[in-house]
This record gives sequence, structure tokens and C-alpha cells, in this order.
Amino acid sequence: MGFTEYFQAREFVQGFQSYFLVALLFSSALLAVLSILNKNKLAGGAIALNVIILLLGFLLLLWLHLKIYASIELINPLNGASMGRIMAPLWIENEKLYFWALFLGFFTYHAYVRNKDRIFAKWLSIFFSGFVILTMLSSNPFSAPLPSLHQEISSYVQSLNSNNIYVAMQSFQNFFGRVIYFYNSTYMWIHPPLLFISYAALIASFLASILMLAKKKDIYDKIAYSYAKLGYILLTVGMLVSYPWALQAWANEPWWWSPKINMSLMMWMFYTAYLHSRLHLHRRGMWNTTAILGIFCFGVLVLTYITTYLVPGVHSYG
Amino acid sequence: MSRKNLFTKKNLFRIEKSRTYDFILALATIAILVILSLISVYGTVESWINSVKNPDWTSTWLYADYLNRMNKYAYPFVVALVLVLCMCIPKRFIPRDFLLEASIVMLAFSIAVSVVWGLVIGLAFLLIISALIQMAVVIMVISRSRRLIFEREGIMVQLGSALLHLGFVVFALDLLLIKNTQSHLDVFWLATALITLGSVLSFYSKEISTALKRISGARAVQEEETIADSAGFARD
Repeated sequence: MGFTEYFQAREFVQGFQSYFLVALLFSSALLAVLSILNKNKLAGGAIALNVIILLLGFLLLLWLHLKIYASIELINPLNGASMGRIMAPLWIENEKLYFWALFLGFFTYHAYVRNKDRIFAKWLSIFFSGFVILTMLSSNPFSAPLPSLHQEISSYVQSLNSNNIYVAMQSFQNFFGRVIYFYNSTYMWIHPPLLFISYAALIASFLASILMLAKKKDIYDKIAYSYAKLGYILLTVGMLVSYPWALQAWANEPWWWSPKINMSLMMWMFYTAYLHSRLHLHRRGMWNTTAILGIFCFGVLVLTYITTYLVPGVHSYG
Repeated sequence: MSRKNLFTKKNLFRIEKSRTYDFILALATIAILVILSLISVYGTVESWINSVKNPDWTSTWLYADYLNRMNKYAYPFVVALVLVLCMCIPKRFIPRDFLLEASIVMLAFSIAVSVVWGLVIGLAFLLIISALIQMAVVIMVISRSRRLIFEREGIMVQLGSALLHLGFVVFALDLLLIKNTQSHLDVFWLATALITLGSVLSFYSKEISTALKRISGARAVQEEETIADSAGFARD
């Protein structure tokens, strides 16, 4: 088994942490400054630079995940039978915000290239640069790649080397359960990426809703709606596909009305309310109601994300 | 109907009446969703407080009590949401003058069923009627019937809206009636497929129509070229 190969690959990725940190902090700061100074052409280049650096980092992380798959084989200590390999998704642990930032980058570039409104593109660029800086300072995926998975792999390797079959078996069973129901589950490959792409689109919708309220122009409603509808479809499908998984994986867990589920439902309900409100946009009072709902929805989205880390529950780390 | 007749006082009143009906339904939907959201916030706060007091509270009687109360708080509003959803459906089918009356008749029948067989069967009755109407709407949209009433023109957006509403009705029916049976997940996936397809068609109707026109246009050009080529071959 190639555990050494995995450890070496992880160290190799860690070697890039400072390069990516400096490159992304610099390019994001540059983007923010250029956007504030209304240097549109240069800002477009800075968005592209950010997206390219984020993509390069994503490819490096992909390489690490492939290395994990290729070098670690789960072996039953009792009979030596192969029980499969780890297919860790690319949006778990400290890679979540990075994946989210990458898609926010795509949407920012799209807004810059496709939207005629420069004010929206400017504010989205500023938000994007802030988001990248926050991601790299709070959750740099290269500084300690996949800490929980690494901990689990290390414990598994230690138990295999302990020459104690009971310890090895117990460690294997725990790890195998996590691999089957978490890392390798189809759900983890569909649910989180759909939600993170949706969240990225909903950031754009949120900013357009603020402009809609402030400037009272039709174009901002159209922009807000164009991103909200994409975000809403991905959010709805992402939430729905997780239901059969929850029934199976949390069969004996208290997940119904758990905090994260409550907040996710609330977020979906608010976006549904926003889309209903928009149907009657030109009635008296509905313009402001729709814009305020669009802004409020994003507040709920942030609360939903934070709930995972703050409030204990079956779907949380709180 | 001539243009002059179209703008008679009576017709304008009818259009305004149906728009007001739509608007009231939309406002009711928003209000119910906001109330359900507040219930969710309450649940989150209570869970948080309970877990601070006792991290293992979900294995005590408190959790069962919490679940019961949350279900009790949410139930009336979920029922109201189902009712509003079902009241939205006949508007595609029934002439605008009789919308309110038709909805009242549907509700009255459901209440009668509820009184005799209980609330769950009453709601299921309402949902089944709505599902049947919505299926008829889907078929009529596909067969391009002119009798349907839609705010927006275009087969894609109309089909999308019809499938989306049908998906939500099937979803509600699944949770209400089939949850504890073996078909639960099959029906769930059907509802998910309808909701997804319906959302994509109604949100991206323009883009899909343009793409389809481009494809069919390209095909028509290709066919013409093939015919021209074979004609050329025949000449050779």
C-alpha cells in the first residue's frame, strides 16, 4: 500500500500554500482597487487572473485527491480482503469556501463580460475579491489539506502498524463506515457542489437586489432574477437529492427538525417567496418588497451556512 | 372578439378580478412561507438552547416533545400552503369569471371529505383532484390547446409551469399518503424529476426555444443540402 506516496503528495501540496496565499491575496487586492477606481478593462484582466489562479489551485487539489484514491486501499485486517478506495469529493472540509470562491469567480467574470451594467460588475468584483481574501485567510486549503480525512488515514495506518488485530479492526470499521456513507457516497458528490454553485449565483442576485432597491432600475431586477433562478434550481435539486440519503444514512439519527435542516428549509422558503413576489413586481409596494426579500434571502443563506459550525446537530460541526 | 369589445368595462373588470386573485394567492403564499420560516427559526433556537443545557438532549424525552410541538406548529401552515397550491392550479383551466367559485367548490368538497374521513384523506382528495387537473393541463399544453389560460405565451414556459406545479403536488401527495410504503422513494424521484424539468423549462424557456429553433433550422438546412446533394448525384 502506498501510504508513503500519499504523505509525500500531501507535503507537496502544502509546499504551495504560501505561493497561492500571496498570489490570491495580491490579485484580489488588485481587483478591489481597480474596481473602486473604475478601471474597467484592467479590472476584467484582474478577474481573469484571479480565476486562473483559483483554477490552478483547484487542479492541484484534484491531483491530491487522485493520489489519495491511487495510493490508499482499504484492507480488512481480519482477512486481508480489499474493501475499496477513497474517492474524496473536492468540496469538503477546508476546500468548501475555495470551491465556492471559484464559482463566484466564474459568475463575476460572466457578469463582467456579458452584463451591460458596469455598476453591478464593479460591486460583484469587489465582493468577489473580499470573498477570496476571506477564504484564503480563514480556510486556506493548501496549508493543511483535508485535516479530518488526514487524521482518519493516519489513525488507520497507526492501527494497522500496531500489530493488535482488535485495535486494527475497530479502526478499520470506523473508517470504512465514514468512507462508504460520507466520502464515497453519491450524495456527497452531488449535494454540496450544487449548493455551493447555487450560493455563488445567489451572491450575485443579492448584490443586484441591493442595487434594485437603491437605484430603482429594471436592469437590476433582471440581473437579480437571472442569477436567482439559476441559484434556485440548483438549491432545490441539491436539497431534494439529499433526502433519500438522509433517510438511509441518518435512519437512527435525530435529523428531523434539526437546526441545519430548519435553516435550509427556511432559506428555500424565502427564495420561493422572493420568486412569487417578483411575479407582481409592478404592483404598488412590490418593487421594494421583492428587493428587500432578495437581500434578506442572502442573510438567511449566510445564517444557514454559519449554523453548520455554530449550532450542534446531526448535520453540524457545532 | 373585436378590439373594441375587448376593452369593455365588463372585460376590464374580469381581467382585473383575475389579476387580483393571482396577486392575493401570491401574497398568501409569501405570508405562509414567511410564517413557516419563523417556525424554523424558533426550532433552531430551541434546539440550540437545549443542546447548550444538555448536549445529549436528543436522546431524552425532550426531543420527542420538541418534534411533536414543531409538527403541531407547522401543520396548519403546511395545510394552508397545500390549499394555496391547489387553488393556483384551476386558474389554467377554468374561465376567470368562475375561478373563485371553482376553488370554493373544490375546498368545500375537500372539507366534506375531511369531516367524514379525516384531515389527511381530505387533503389527499384535494391533492389528487389538483394532480388530475394539472395532468390535464400538461396534456392540453402539449396538444397546444387554446382553452388554457396563461399569463405568459410560449409552449416551453407553459409546459414548465404546469410540470413544476404537478411536481409539487406529487411531492406533497408522496409525503402525505405514501411516506411509509415501498413506493415512497420512486414517487419522490418522479416528483423531483417533474420539479427539475418544470423549473428548467419555465426559467429558461426563451433560451431552450432559441436553441431548439437553431437546431431545427440547422437540420432543415442540412436536409435541404442533402436533397440538393442527392439531386446533384442524380444529375451526375
